[in-house]
Amino acid sequence: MADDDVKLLKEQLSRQKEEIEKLKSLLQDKLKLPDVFTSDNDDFPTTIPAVNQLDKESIARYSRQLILPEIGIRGQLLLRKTSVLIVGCGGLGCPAALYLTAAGIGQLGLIDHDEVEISNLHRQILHTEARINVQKSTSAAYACKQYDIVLDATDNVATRYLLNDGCVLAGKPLVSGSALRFEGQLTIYNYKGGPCYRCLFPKPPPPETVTNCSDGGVLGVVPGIIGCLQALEVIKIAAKIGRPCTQRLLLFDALDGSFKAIKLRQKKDNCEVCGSSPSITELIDYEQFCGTRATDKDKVLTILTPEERISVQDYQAIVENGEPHLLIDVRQPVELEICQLSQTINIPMNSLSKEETIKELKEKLIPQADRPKTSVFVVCRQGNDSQVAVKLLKEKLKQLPISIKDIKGGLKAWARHIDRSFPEY
Amino acid sequence: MDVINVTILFFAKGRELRGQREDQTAIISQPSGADLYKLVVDKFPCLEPIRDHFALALNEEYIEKSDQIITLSEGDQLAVIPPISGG
Repeated sequence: MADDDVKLLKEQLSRQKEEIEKLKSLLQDKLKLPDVFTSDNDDFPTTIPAVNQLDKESIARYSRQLILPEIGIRGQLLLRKTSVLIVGCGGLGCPAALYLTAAGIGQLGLIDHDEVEISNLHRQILHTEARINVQKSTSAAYACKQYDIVLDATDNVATRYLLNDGCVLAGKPLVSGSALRFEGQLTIYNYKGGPCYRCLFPKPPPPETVTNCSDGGVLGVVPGIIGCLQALEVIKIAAKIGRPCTQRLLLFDALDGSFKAIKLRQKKDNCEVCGSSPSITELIDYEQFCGTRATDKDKVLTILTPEERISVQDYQAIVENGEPHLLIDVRQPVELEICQLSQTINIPMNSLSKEETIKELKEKLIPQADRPKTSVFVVCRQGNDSQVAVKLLKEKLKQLPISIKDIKGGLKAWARHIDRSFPEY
Repeated sequence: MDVINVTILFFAKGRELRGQREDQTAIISQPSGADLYKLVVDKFPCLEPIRDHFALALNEEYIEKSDQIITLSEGDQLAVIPPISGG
């Protein structure tokens, strides 16, 4: 192509980019988003009708907690006056929301997930249609300011830092709960001189060291218990009773049936966000800060070249044609008990590099007269581990006349495209 | 320098990396808070991936990463507590 054409295209591209920026800015203006931390003018339904006495029905409904001297009419009216934002409507958020509603909290805001999309709005009732495609942190941080107490029931590191900073900047207590496998943690950040999340954990963990519920698993009762404890702490803050769990970290060990309360530090004077001269004075890009997406959804890796992979459709054809091959499933044995393809050999990821495993595999792959070259396929749940495994096996088995490919998208793709009755987990 | 036997409790990712809930180890009796964080990783190299990403508690009290000297006693419990982020 002539240089002139390239130049022309570049100019066109640059003009289009300018146009897009202009349109974006126009859209922002149209949406008229108020400044997150200064404006009180908004479309959030924050006005809770002022009540200074309870009617007959409310007295009957809340009677069992009204006769607790610590709560009484005073405490119940305080609950009625309080608004709480629950971020994350999963294992933690659901029980918390149920108990807070049942206890008579004046107003609940619920947010789930990070991006405002039209398909979210049926459940993410805090976002509005006008805010589709609006930067999620703007929407969420805006929300922090609108509520008295924020409850962190999220499932990922990036949102946890976002809520921490949002609450510090808005001066709101953050009732933080988390759960994984058989363990749970609970504390209140940014409350009564206690630390914030950054005071304790200034650096986000490397993404590869973070286990999420979809990989690690979680017993439903565990977030159920932590979510209930979060609701309890909210009630204590709202009714101004008891000793809220600030400056303490509650560790729950479900298998051991034990709780431990760790006494924490006060807030850190040189904390980047809640210290005396903070360097973070507005929200930042938390996905960039944490090096990971603000979701616990599994990422899709692309380690292999297209030639080193096979689609589920092509693999099905190989099976149907009766072509000889070896299928290796690299999931854990417990996962194979859930579901597996026929004629599978199980070699879990963690034993793949063991010498004896490779030795056994080599014996299986010795060339036979009728098949000079063996095809090996590797499968896992969703096609990430299988790629890592192919890379490793290629190295370990490089002297053998074999081809090794991974099945793209793993058993998830098999369930979606080949066999609809095949379980997904 | 005196050496003290302590129990190390592993939580969350620490438990996953170590593959057990607790263990015993011997540690110098008067390290600084910051040194104690380092010593625990030295004793348990499996914690290397989360080196800067856990809180340490001595007998259920948070230890600050500072120069302040911590006096350990026989049978003390040191807890390795990485944050959980799931929910």
